[in-house]
Amino acid sequence: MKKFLILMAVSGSVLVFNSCKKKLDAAPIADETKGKVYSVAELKAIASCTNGCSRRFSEGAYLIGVVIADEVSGNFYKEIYVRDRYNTGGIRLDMKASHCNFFIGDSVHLNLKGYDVNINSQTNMLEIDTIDFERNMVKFASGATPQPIVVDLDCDSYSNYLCDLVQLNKMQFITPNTIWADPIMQISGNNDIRSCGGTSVTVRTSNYAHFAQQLTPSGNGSIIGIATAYSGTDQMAIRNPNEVNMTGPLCGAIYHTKNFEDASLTSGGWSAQNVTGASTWSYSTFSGAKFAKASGYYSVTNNITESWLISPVVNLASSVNPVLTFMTAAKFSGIPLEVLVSTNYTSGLPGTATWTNVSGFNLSPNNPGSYAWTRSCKIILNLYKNANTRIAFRYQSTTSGATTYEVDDIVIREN
Amino acid sequence: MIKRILSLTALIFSISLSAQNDSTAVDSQKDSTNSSLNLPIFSTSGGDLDTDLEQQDVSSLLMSSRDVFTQFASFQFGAARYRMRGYMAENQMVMINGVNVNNLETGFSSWSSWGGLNDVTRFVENRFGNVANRMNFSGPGGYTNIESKASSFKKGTRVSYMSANRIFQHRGMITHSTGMLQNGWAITVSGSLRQGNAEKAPQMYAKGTYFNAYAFYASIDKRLNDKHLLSFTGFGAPIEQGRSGAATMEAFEVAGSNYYNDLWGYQNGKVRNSNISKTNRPMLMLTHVFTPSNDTKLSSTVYYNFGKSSLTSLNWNNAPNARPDYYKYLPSYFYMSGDTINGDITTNNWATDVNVRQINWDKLIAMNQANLYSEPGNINTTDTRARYILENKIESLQNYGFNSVFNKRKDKLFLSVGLNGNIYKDRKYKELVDLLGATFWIDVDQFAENLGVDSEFAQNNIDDPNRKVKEGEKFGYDYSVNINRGELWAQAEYNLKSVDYYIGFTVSDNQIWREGFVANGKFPTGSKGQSEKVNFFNYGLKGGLTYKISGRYYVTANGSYLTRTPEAANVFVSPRVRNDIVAGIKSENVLSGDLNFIIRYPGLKIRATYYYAQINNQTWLRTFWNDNYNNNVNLIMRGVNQTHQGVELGIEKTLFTSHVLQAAFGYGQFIYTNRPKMDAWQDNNNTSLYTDRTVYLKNYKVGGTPQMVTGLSYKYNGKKFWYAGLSFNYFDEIYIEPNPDRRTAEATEKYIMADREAYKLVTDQEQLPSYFTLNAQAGKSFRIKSKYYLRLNLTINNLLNNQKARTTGFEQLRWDMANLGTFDNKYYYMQGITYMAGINFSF
Repeated sequence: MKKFLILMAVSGSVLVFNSCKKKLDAAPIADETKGKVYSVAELKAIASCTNGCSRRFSEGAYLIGVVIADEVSGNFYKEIYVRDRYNTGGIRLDMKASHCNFFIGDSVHLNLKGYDVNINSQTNMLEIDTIDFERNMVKFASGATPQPIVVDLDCDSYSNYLCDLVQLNKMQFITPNTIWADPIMQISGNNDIRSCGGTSVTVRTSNYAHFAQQLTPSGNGSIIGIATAYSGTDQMAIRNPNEVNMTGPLCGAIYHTKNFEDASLTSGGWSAQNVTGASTWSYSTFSGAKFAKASGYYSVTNNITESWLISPVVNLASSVNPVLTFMTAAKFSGIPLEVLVSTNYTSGLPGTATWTNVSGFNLSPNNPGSYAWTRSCKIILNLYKNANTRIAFRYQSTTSGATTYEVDDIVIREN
Repeated sequence: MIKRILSLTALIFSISLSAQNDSTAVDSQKDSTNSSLNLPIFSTSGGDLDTDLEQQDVSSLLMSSRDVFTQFASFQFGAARYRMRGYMAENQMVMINGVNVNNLETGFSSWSSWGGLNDVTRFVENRFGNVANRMNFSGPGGYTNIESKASSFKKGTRVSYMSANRIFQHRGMITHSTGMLQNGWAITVSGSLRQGNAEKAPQMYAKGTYFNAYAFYASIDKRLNDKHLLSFTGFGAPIEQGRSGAATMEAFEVAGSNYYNDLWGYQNGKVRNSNISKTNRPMLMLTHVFTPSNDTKLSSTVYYNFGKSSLTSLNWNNAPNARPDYYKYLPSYFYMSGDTINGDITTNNWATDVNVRQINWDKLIAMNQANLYSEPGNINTTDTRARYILENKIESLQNYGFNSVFNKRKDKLFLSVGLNGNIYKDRKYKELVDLLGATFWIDVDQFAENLGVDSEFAQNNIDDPNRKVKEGEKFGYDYSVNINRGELWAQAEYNLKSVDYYIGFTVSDNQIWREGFVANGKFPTGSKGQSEKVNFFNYGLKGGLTYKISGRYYVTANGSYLTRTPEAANVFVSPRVRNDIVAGIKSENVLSGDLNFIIRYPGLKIRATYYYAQINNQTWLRTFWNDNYNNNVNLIMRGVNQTHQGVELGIEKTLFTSHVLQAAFGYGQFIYTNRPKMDAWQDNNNTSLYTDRTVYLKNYKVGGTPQMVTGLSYKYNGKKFWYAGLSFNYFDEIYIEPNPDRRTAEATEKYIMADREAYKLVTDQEQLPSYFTLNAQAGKSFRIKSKYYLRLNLTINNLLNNQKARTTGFEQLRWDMANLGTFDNKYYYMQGITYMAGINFSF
């Protein structure tokens, strides 16, 4: 009986213990619902703010995204790149120490409280500095496979993709078969790649990259990396050479190039033809860039003008897939610049020949406009595979509007 | 009749106990003198101290007793590292001849100091919990007293041999005692030899381990006359042990063994262990017992405890980590970053190349030999600077003490008063053991060196800068911890008809200081010489009551409150290099009590206990290597409170005099109860890494011991002095000790509600799976020509050869806030089937 009582007492007390099982202490956790989740675009807006506005987050706020570049290959050090979950772009996260253990495909969030978001004055890249990743950053999932954004250098402005993961197609190294960087002399590598349209990007590689002593490929093809920049030069930092696939045939023939680097409007057979009003086409230069410029604004007013900038004959008779690319920069409202093609023009006023308007290309926005250099994209000239092909830019203005157009890097080449 | 049953039970018991520890005792058990006063009283016969030298805990070292629960705790639960009531060793006082031998610095009792002397440490009085103690003031864990004077042993000689596969393979012991001779002299000498080497015994579990131990003992008593006895006892037990380490689940897995041991490797084709511990701390004691009358006794002892203990380990400078399971050498390091190619290669290397998964001594030596070193302007082509060395962390002890106890019985009062004191000095330094093929090692701090400030900054000893250290020389650090201590205590016991009660108190004063013998470049003025002397005045009160319902039923209640000095190592911020004291260091305090219900029939014994203890205001200091700083980091938690409460039940039923059934059940709740504050310091920096962080530790479980245990056993005692038994033991509620740094706002406030899972990985406490063991024992005694005894016994533990039970583990203190997996928890696996087979002969 006594034994039974004791057993009862013991099992009773066990029950008591179990029923008062104590809840584990909980170290604080943040409530993200009290903080806004920012997109990279929003962060960029904050960072670009110039009116003495604060770029520091004083309250809990978050960046949530996926890692698009990590430290594994050694090409990035004390930094990772993250694309936000709204897919508005990438950002460079500068870490207070190396080995943050966030890897490509990891989903992470960063508590922005106490951090500044900046546009780096040297690189123009959006970044957050000296992140205490141990304290403020969390990997909450992994295994994502963020895809690169395909950037067409004939069309797109590379700098719009800074800090994001991009893929460039039809690229080739200007000096192939060189090492990416020199770990012995401790020199980072700058290896330029060029699109068939002639746009180049510098592939910048750290001498600490594990692949530094491998050689750059000699073919043409695609390359994936983080879009970076330095002092106005477009750059790229690759994550791993196995994302560089340049084994295809090199760029085809270039039939014509006009880049105004010789400070001449008409060299190489170009001519300007005034149809109405004063001559509006001229050679011009601005902060190092050299280009052709057309403006119907003179004598302190807008004038009615029409003038053409006409190329020399370009023989496309034996071409396969000829394309035209160029760049424009514009300001002030007015009539958009036109691009035309002729196969029977010889000389004089354009009216002496048959011209066909081409369409489907990009022009720099002109209203209000801020001379933003804009790539045209490829204009296919398959209909004009003729020995006597010419292209022309037709500029027009009225008293109510005279856009200033700048034109540069005109290339006719095999696609 | 009852008497006969009792004595038979006692005999059976002593035999069955001998089965466990091979110190067979047909000698009548020496009951403690005050059995009528307090229950339970435990009396034991010797100790098996070999089960685990690292784990100096109360329970595994509790020797046999007549208390069923304590028996299970000692012999059945030890393999699970069970600690009775969750108490660490400082809660239990261990005495030899009444002298407290708990280490003054750590509070722990070093049972290994007399390991192998089983024959002469058999007479143990062991009482667990708050109890009256006539030899000293003991706390919540009670006490164990080993009575070991020459005059306490009967005349005779014992020779024994044991074969086993736990830590040693062979043990031989021999003991001779003269008994008290006519002329008043009594002499006992004992010696033993224990030896084991995993290389020669594939059935041993952890590869690379070995064990070499000797022990010697001599005691000489001289009875001067009726009233005076002079007794000398001296003993020592040099032990050398090649150790094994804990590992992560990944390491066990890729190495293909649950007994993977990262501490050894091949050198020139021979197995070499890098962590070799050696201890040899003999003790000499001289006691004078004055018995002026039958009811008065004054016992005074002076003693000297001295010697060295040491532990070797690899150290390196400007070279890759030498440990084979460093996280960067494991496959997960590559897999984590998506590098499956190198991950697979590493996995394969671990599985196939022993030099990958173990220390590659040959490579370390080759790297040393290739490291030519020239001082500026002095090209040298022969001298090499060591990248790797094997160093020895040495502690050299000198402890002088005296202990005086006065006992007096007067009618119903039994009075005990004691006075004791120590002058304690433990000098700690490093010695270079092996240059591993290099010519010298430079005595500088590699991290400070990298800082590039003036060259003095990096010096470990600014009086001897850039010293080239050779083998056998001291280097690194050199300091002593000094403790002066004095205590006065008293206890009064009253023995009434239906009630016994006792009260006691203690007051003591402890003075602790550090003395540095080298001036460190980082702390040129704060490292050499004496630190401030920190004083801890402590006191304690205790009392207890036994209510005798009848001769068979008892209810007892005990309680105590005491304050005690924190572990000396926790008093200093960074004891290896400087004198600074932990801010606001204070004594910890312990409030404890228990309530027991006891039934005693000849064939039935039951004890049911509820216990409760608060151990508050503890200081907790741990040091770990952080490769971010290339240095030791000290974490110091202040004001740690914990509560231990639970129930214990032990039942023993004897049927038909030869069938003994036993059951033990323990359910505890050992938890932290507050939010302590924590500081972190680097060993080599004057600025703290942080201070005053709140640790959210409340209700976390205290780790390292099962909090729930159940044991069932059956023994059959044959008529011709043989026995056989089987025990089933079950362990549950096993928790991993939490790393406090992971339970701070600084570690967790980056998490948001959406990542609760990731947050829980950081803060949740891991519970290990429960498991059970099945153990068997058997033995037989022969009496030859009525004067020789031959005893055989065999113990087999873990009969089912379960090799998947993890006994304990820990969260690494070095952890990666951004990726927990980098520094995974480490674990220990329980050994598979083990045996101990012994034979002994006495005459």
